[in-house]
Amino acid sequence: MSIARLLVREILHRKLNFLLGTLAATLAVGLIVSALTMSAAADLEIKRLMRNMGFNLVIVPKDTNMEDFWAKDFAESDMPEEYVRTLSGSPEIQAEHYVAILKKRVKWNDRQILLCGLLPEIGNAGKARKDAMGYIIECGTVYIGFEIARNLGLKSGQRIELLGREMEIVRCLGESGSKDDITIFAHLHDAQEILGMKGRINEIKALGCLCFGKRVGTIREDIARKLPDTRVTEFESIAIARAETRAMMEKYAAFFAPLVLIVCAAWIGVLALLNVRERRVEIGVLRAIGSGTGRIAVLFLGKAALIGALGGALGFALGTGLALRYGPEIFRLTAAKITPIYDLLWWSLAASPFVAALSSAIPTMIAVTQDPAATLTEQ
Amino acid sequence: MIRLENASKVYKTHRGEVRALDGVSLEIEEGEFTVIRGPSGSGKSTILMCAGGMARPTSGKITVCGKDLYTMSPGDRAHFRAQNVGFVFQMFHLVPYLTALENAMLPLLAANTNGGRGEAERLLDHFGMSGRKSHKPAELSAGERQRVAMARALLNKPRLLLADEPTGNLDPENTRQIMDYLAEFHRGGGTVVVVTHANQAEEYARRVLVLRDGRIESETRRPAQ
Repeated sequence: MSIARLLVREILHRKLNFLLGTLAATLAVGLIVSALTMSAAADLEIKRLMRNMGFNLVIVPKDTNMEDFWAKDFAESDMPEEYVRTLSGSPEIQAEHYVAILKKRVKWNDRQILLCGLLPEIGNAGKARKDAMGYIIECGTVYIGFEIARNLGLKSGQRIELLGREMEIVRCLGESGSKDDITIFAHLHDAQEILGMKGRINEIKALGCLCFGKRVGTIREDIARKLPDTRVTEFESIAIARAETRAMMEKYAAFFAPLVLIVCAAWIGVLALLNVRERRVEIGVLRAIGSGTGRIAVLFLGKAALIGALGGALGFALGTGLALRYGPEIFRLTAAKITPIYDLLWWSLAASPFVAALSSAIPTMIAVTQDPAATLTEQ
Repeated sequence: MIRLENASKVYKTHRGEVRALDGVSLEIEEGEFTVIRGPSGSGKSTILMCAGGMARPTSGKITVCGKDLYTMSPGDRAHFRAQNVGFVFQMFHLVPYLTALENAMLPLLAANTNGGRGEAERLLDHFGMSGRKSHKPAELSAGERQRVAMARALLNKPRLLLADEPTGNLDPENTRQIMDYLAEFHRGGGTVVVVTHANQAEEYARRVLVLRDGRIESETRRPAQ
């Protein structure tokens, strides 16, 4: 007769207790695994949604009159185009998605329009970003604002002459309700040539750090240190909303996972307690025939560990299945990020038995300290 | 074999203290067959549990086989029980999910050995349980259950057998059989202490103690036959 045999026989005898325990462990592991499996997609999805709120940093030449800037939507002064590379090549500055801009009001086809030259976005390692927040415009092409296109009857594919330079319309933009509707967007270098301002820009837009606590004050100081003749303005509400949303999601995850764990561990603990109460006589007999407290503890902790191991394996399958089945419906933009994380299986198989055994520690203590004489002499 | 020196046992309950044993001094020689009688609550079962190393007396000293039981560590006391003491209970206390054979083999768990299956089968055969070894307790009669409990108690060849009302739930025929098995163990040199209400048990005993209110009220010795 071995402990393993006794353990298996008892489990087969009290199937419901074992199944309910395994269910608790399975649910706990399953919920946590599904949350972790979807977390990469969730993070990215939130980033994208937040990013869609737009750039939150504007860098202009230091002598810019900000009243004029907000009235006209562009700065009269200019600065070297290299500044954008200086910033993007400075890892200490917590910003991303740098866009160099040259924007001026011009007269075209008897109307006042804004000409906006954009350089494709670059990341903070100085490399072009594929996941651009704004437009990526090729040289020789333009995007036409809604009002201009409507009023002049312009269509995609048409060629136009823009202040002496022939360009192809690749896109007529939808109505934005902003100055974009009266803007023609071109590649920065085309705009510089048209405006006779080669190598110059008058604005850099960027996406400031999303980390809560790393506020714009720090970024301003960092940029001022790097480019002393610039002025930094932050769209604070966007930055705060972005940071607070991320912080809230992190807090929610930090609250949710332990809560699930505690509830399910308590569930296993209560089942273990019921099991101990049901087996009082058996424990008394084992003590009477000379079994030490260690062996009796192994019986209960072993059962809990077995429940945990089985729950860990089933929970991994359940959690991964749920994430793969429902994740893509929840996170539509980043569904491709939802893939099984096989490392979680090993974590589940290690952590779940440990937590289950821990949750059975008090019932086990009760089992090994109960008075066997009192139980065995009950008639 | 067993020596109780001024042993007292007090249980604390929500209604107050209950003095189950009140300064009992007693000596039982090796090879004796002793019956302890007395009304309910007189302390009969408590003496048995104290002598078996299962209940620490509140005061006094208990020596079994020359060992002061309650100066030993719990682990050593458990080991001592596994080596020297067998228990039989009125309610049989078999493990419900094990077969008769597995119940009889249960002491092997404490001994941490895989051997002993042959001895368990031999004991069950001896007790007339040949065809019932694979049955679970729920499928056995009361007499059969007690015979399995006897086999479990005797598997490790103990020197001392402590039986608490072993025939309390049995009919006269089974009572006689169980008492015969206890007597057989005694004839083989074992020491038997039986707590019982049954008059029949006294036929087997050389010594009868009567307990009342936790004290020995009277003692009768019979000459060996």
